[in-house]
Amino acid sequence: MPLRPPRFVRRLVSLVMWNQRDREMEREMTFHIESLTRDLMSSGMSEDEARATARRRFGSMLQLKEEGHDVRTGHLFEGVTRDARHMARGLRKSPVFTLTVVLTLALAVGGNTAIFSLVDQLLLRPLPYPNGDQLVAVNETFITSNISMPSPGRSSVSAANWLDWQREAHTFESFAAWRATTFTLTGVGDPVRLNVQLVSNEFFPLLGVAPLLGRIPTEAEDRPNAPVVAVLSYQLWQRRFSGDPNVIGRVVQMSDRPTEIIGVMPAGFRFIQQDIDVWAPYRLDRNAEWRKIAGRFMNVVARVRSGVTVATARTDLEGVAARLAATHDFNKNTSVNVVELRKELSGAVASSLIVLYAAVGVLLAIACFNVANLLLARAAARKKEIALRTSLGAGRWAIVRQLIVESLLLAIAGGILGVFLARWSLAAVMAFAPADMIRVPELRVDQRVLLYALTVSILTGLIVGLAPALLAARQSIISSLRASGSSVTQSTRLRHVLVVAQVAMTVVLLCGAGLLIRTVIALHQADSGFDRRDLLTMEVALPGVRYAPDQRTLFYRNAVAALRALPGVQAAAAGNSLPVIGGPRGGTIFHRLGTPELPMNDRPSATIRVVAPGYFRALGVPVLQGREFIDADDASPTPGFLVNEAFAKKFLKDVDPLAVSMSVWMQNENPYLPILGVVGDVTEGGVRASAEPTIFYSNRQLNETAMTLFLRAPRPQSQVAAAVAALHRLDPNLAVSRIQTFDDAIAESLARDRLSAMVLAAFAGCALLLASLGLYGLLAYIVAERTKEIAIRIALGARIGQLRRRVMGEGLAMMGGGALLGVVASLILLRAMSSLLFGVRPQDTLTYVAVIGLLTIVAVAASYLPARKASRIAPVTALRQE
Amino acid sequence: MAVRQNDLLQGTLDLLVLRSLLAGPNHGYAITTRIHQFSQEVLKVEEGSLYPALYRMEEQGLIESEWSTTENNRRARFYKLTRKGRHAAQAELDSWLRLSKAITQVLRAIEQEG
Repeated sequence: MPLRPPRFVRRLVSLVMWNQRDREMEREMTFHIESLTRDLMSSGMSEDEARATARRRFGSMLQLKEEGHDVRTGHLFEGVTRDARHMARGLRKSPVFTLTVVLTLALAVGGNTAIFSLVDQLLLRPLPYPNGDQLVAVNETFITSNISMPSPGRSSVSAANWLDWQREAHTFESFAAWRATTFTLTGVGDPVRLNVQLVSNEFFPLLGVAPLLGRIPTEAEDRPNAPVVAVLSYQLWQRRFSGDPNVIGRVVQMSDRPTEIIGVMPAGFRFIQQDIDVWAPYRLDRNAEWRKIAGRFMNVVARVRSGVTVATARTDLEGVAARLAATHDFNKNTSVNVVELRKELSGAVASSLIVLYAAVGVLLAIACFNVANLLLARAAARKKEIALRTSLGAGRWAIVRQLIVESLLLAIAGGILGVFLARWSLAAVMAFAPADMIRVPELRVDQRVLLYALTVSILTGLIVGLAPALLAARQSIISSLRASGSSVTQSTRLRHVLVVAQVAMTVVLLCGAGLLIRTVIALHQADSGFDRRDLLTMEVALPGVRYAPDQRTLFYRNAVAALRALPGVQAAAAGNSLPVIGGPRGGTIFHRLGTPELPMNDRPSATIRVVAPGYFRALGVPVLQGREFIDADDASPTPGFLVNEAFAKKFLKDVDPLAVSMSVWMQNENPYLPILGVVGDVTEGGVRASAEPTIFYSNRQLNETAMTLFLRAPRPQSQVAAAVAALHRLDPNLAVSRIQTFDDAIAESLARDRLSAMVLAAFAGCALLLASLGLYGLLAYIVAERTKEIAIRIALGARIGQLRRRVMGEGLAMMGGGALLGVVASLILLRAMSSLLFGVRPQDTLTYVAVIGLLTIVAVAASYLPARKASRIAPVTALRQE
Repeated sequence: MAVRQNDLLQGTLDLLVLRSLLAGPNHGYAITTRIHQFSQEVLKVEEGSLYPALYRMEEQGLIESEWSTTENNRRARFYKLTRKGRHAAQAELDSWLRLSKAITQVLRAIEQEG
């Protein structure tokens, strides 16, 4: 006996030799049929008769061959490849169907892939620091909430507490302090404002990222009076120093101080803020009595010891904070808030992303239903073909498998196209979104995302293929061969359900998109408390070394005067930052003369802003009582305070504000000073927020090196060059940065809202398109299926209008059912969106009415075409067809 | 009356094919005609069952095939038993005989009782 190779080798060989074997089988069967024919002829049949009988006896040659293959190679693989070739041929023959399905799936898979890539990079992927899950951001919190802070209840950290945590919390490896600031770089090209993070020497070792070039600051360099050193970001190094490796050791002027460049960070390195140019040592005096001389002003990032969970570390630090709160008056009623750095980073984007991810999931479901519907229609059209194949001996499984393979082919084609769509749309998102909104350097479609897209495509293919396949499997051969397809079949009923479900889901998406659009409109139109039209804003920072405190006040007075003197400029002003979206100068406690002196942390607190004389008039904020700061106030170093209406309402209800005198814990000396006036409320902390009780200092009293300048002119953009020139006449080495209109600044702060609304609206639009296609497709199919019935009705004298109304009625009924379900679902589901909304409730009637209106128009259009077709059936032609 | 293969007990087709090949290599058509003749035209093997069965048994290593010439000088695929197939033919026969003997006994007993 010859040696037989192992079975799997034989299978493999037979797989490769498929064609060869195919021919062999065919030859074998031809031989069989010929032998049979000869024998039949010899028993007296004619040749034709014998041949026909032999062929009939033999049954479907193809079928036998197929089963022969199945036996030889393990059914699945070969059956599938054969099906794939067979189906691909079939799909090429119906390009419109194929294109519709592939595009539908591409849209859904593409949207899904794009959003997944965002979700993945912002929420799922490890942070770009080694063992990034051990990193946490630490804030102080106030247990009693009478301290008002920009983000309620959470505040920056006192240096004293940072140092005490460092000593006492043993579940942490280390704590690093950091604070954002700006430097002006001079002598390297034009003067330029640099975004800087001041970091304590623990910072780089804690993050675990090494510099690309040079070194990181030493402990000695992080002490007061140490010479200033700087680590450059890759971008600044490329932009300003042309990537010169000899930059290490070079001394440049930063804010008029000689600063040695000691290192360059790698290209992707960033920490919380996207656009940082320089990291410089904090140089904080660690021996000072910080609880006595300052408030809370730094941010803290910490690394939890490896092997210790964040929860354990949190409990530990809360214990430390409780001990400190018991020991120090300064810490009374405070605790800590420990947040995973990941959460801190994804922050507000996360809630938008989750809504979008849910929306794109719904879109995928709609697409699935739509494609399932198209496949059902196709399967119905092929009912006879399938019945024929079944009667020729094709197994039920073979037919189911074929249909599933077909839908998989379609889904994978759609998936591939979808990945390209995802790449384009991500590029568009990155181009549109401001740098700080999406806190990743780039959005890529990488292996993980591709794997996701593939999985989604395959699952989609299986799901959409399932319905037609199961129906096909259930259909009995005889009934479908006999029936000429005039009855309402199971398949049609299922298709009704699918269309209604699509409409319902579309309603949910449309309502969600409508709410977000209303939100964006409301945000852009929100009255923030001042006149924001025609307002140009710019930032200026004076080098502290060259400008003594008095000179700073003088400079800004001159700057405001110079801007105001420009032709066409109606008003000019200066304040410590942009109103609404710029951060306030701080928040602190105050004491009103004549009220009991409470312990430190029980005292009331307010937001602090600094303004130059004339600020409120220039910005159009009403002065409700008293007056605002005037140039004459600059004669005294301590002119007094202004407060806003929210402050007066909260703290000065029963007294005349202008008779009040108070002390505000802001400086070393905090004398009791009068309130000079009460001004109107301006929103604090973003358009969505409301006004905070605020105390205004004049910049004479609390002078600032960096201020924001405002000018109002009819076409503010046309004033940019003149304004910069005017400022450079005062100081040629001044960096003027962030020159933008206030409207642009607001729009930028709303980019996330706008982007969410746009993306959701795009999804909803796709959904509407798909649902209307689904509705149209089903009605057209029903009309086609009932051609004969309709023709008979017309022949018997049915009114055309009536027929048309019936078809349209059917369409509108499906739409109505879907709309009803959709509205109910929206009312329940869209409440989850509350946190994203502004100026509109999740149950906003206008949105719902608009959505239903839009849907009705689309449904009428989608039903009209099939209805018209039905009414134009010519009875004679139609009846002759069968 | 012709008994179609479908009506035969499952497994008997394999037995019939294997036994008919015991006489020597043969092609598919000859196998059907032999079974048909030997059964005095009672058993008729359907082509749709025969070839899948042949391929399966070849796959199982019971038979092997090669192209050869018939007495009429035509090319046909001849199947022949492997050593394993010979054993299988014997084993199948034994079990069939046991089974049919048992059935015969049961039927006799019932007949005598009645």
